[in-house]
Amino acid sequence: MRIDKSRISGTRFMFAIAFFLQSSALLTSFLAGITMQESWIPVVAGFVVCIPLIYLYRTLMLRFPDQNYFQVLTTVYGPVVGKVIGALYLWFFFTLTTLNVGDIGDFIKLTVLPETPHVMLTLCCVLVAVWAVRNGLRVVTRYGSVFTVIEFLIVAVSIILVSNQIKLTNFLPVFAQPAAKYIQGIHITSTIPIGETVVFLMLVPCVKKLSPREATKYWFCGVAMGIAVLLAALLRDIAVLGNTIHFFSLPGLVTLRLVNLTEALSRMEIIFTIAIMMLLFFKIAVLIYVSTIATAQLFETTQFKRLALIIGIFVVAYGPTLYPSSVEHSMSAHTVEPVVWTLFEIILPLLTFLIAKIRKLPEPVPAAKGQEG
Amino acid sequence: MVWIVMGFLLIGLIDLRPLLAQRKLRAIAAFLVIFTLALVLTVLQKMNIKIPSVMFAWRDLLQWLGLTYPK
Repeated sequence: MRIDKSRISGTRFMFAIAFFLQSSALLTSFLAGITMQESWIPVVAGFVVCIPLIYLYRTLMLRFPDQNYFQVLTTVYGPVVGKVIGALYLWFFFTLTTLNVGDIGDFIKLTVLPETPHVMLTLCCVLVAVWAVRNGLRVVTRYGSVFTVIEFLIVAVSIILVSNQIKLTNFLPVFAQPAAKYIQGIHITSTIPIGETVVFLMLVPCVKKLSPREATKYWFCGVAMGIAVLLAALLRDIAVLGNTIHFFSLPGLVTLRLVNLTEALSRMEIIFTIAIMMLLFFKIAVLIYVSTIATAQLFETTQFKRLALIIGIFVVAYGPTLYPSSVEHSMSAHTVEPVVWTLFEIILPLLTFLIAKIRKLPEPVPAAKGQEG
Repeated sequence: MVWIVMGFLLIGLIDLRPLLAQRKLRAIAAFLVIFTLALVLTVLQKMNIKIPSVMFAWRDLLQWLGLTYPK
């Protein structure tokens, strides 16, 4: 059963991954709170550590090219256990969507619309995302490539604009923290931005057939582009803010507030604000799409368009129950979320792959009678 | 509260009515499950009733297992 009939090219899939990862630029404060001016180390190390993980996702995609992740779970674990694990994943997708919707609400409230109620901000964003989801994956991912390039340009221009404030000594001292801090930082990088790409396994049937070479190229280039922008933004913030970076919940915003080249070129943080809103909106649209497809798959229906709106409303209603404040969210992102996410992003996909390998799944389709002999 | 009920009625009109007309039973079941959850959560929050956080349940479980990072 194929839920969404639309198809996207491998290139569009790659840009969707890149854009999805870039949108975690808002979350650099999760890392900065732990490894401060050395936060670039866990990002680089996290990418290296995640190479086998990305390869695992790419292999699952190639092994089950016509099945989304929920169908893979049913094939590998059987209908009952597969559905139970699918229900757990559904909770994971809903929670991920809700946390990102909460982030965009908090961000807009903090930067542009402080008087507007949080629920109105999240509702407006979700309604537009739902509109995109109802039109299928092609519409959700349509502007991914354009936005990826815009984000590259914004980060590049912002680095040029703050170049007069950059002090290379802000990167020092290096390797001054206990090893446990780096491990925690690498774990956060592996699970919060990179491991979240597990959601793309739900899009597999909508991606045009890829050869192993193409799949490897698109997965790795997508992740590399996303991480490159994340790293560039982080290096810029560290170079400007130094070891004070962990004082701020939005270091990128603070860095761009410091731009002061002439009278005209000041208060540039609006660039960052627009970029982050654009990125988070895209991420939310992808996550709502994935949650909708996952719900439709769990109930074995193809009517996903009719579920998108109520899922969007559920996400808005579920949000305030998760954390009472963004401080609690940040604390949880340091200590609890990486551990919980590990189950869904690393352990279960790995287990699924190993069982599929041992059971030699998917079974080859027997040739039609007319073609035999 | 009136706005909440009206909002949910509108969603029902937009998406549930066509599903009922087409007798898509599985889709109706999926819609009603999510609809009920969303309505209950919204009404409870409107009535200022504290809803336990799932993430705090995970935190307590992981702390009990000794699997969280130190604060």
